[in-house]
Amino acid sequence: MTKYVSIFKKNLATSLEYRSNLVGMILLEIIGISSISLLWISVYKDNGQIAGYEFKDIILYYLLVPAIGIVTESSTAQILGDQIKDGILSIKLIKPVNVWSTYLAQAFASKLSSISIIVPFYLFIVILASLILKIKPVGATELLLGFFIAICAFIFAFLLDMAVGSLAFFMDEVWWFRHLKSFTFGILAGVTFPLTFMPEGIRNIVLLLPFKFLYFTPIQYALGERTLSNLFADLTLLGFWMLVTGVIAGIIWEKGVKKYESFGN
Amino acid sequence: MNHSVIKRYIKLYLHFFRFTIIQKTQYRFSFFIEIFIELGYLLWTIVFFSVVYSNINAIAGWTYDEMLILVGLSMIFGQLLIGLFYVWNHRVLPERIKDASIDFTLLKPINNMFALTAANTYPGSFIAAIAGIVLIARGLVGLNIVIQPLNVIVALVLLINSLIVGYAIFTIITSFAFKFINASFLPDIANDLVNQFSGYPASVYKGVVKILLFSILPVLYAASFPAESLIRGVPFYHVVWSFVLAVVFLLLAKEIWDRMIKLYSSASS
Repeated sequence: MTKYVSIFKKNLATSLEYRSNLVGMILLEIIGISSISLLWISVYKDNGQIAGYEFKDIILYYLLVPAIGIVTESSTAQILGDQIKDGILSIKLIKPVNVWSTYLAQAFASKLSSISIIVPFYLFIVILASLILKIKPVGATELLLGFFIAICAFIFAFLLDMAVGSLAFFMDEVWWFRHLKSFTFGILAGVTFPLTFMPEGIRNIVLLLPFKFLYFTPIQYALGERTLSNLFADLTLLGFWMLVTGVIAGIIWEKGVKKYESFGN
Repeated sequence: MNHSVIKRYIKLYLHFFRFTIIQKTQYRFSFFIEIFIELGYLLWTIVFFSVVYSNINAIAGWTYDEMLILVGLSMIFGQLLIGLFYVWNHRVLPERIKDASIDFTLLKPINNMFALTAANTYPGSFIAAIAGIVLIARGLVGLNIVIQPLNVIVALVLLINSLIVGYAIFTIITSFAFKFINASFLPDIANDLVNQFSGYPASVYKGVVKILLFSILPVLYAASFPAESLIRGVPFYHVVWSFVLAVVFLLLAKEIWDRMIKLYSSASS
């Protein structure tokens, strides 16, 4: 365990070193939220309520999207893909460590640095927006529940990334992983719009998939649309998908490592 | 700038372009993935508007078919901007400044702003831009209108001037990477600023924001007004103003670029 703590500490220090990129990340989110908010202001001018969401609800929803994303997002697919492609994985494979655990420690370290810097900023924005728009502020219990389910979803995101990243054993191109995730999550996880906006037939299918846990479900908890009574059912479904994803990732990894060849010094 | 210089740069650009195409067709799998990714983003936008319009009838007075035309134009604008200037130019510039790999480019007897911000193309985007044309056609069929040739010309002029403005904004923002080393987020900020606000109708924006989007960040000429031109025509002063903006922004970009590049000091071995 000590060795993974060391890996965690080292990666935490590295993540905190590049704080300017975190500032850039915040700026990008502000641009995104501003443009989408302006669109929704215009939409709600002619409509009182859409799919059960009032204007203030939708604004709060979009404010929570990046805050939850900070917790659930994982960049392991890209890191793993690059390391397989560049042969850096060899260094990890010869060390007396569990490779998956090193990636998990690395992912947690990067997560902790972003959470400690960005999440307080987002929470400040959410509280400020609640006061300006006179919305009932997000409650502490709801926020904690949202945070809890988001952390669980992060484990799922990590396993999904291990499966996607391991595809690099079989192909040379890995740059497109993050784009694939970007538009898959954009539509199926509730980044672009709350999933309740979807037509019923499609929504029923999408809600069975695991992607909703990455944004939509934690936001529902934070907004109080889901409560403690829903937690068991949600964790069961998420657990099922974690198991399925983990098994698939394991199979791809095992097959990939057998095929893996590294050249050079 | 005289004609021979312009001719020389067009020739140079075509050389670079031909080289990129040869290089890309060597790696066909990568090329197909690029197209797949770009089409994925297009699908994302279409799904978003389809879902929104399944709940409402119009956004700021724009119906679904009208919005398809706007989204199509926004797609063409965004993809051309990304393909011509972003992916292999502005996006990689901060990294190239950081590792000093621009040194070799700076030694070449060509304009450094051209070489570092416009010389390399990303052809995958052009294929995705074709999907924008399909969207426009679908919107026009849905509206059942006959478009006037003059309105098409006006739309094209607005679009081209917007590409120049977009390029200038990219260059202005990204050139700060010469001052702030490791500012890898600058190109993304430029890309988001230009593309996020250009995909919605002008009538969505009000007050100060609208003034800003006409002047400081004039992205309304990228898709909203060209779409309006195709559907019902726009007053001529928009064309004049878009020309003024293109010239002013390009000159401003050149000025800022020249000042920023003076701050560069190579750190390579």
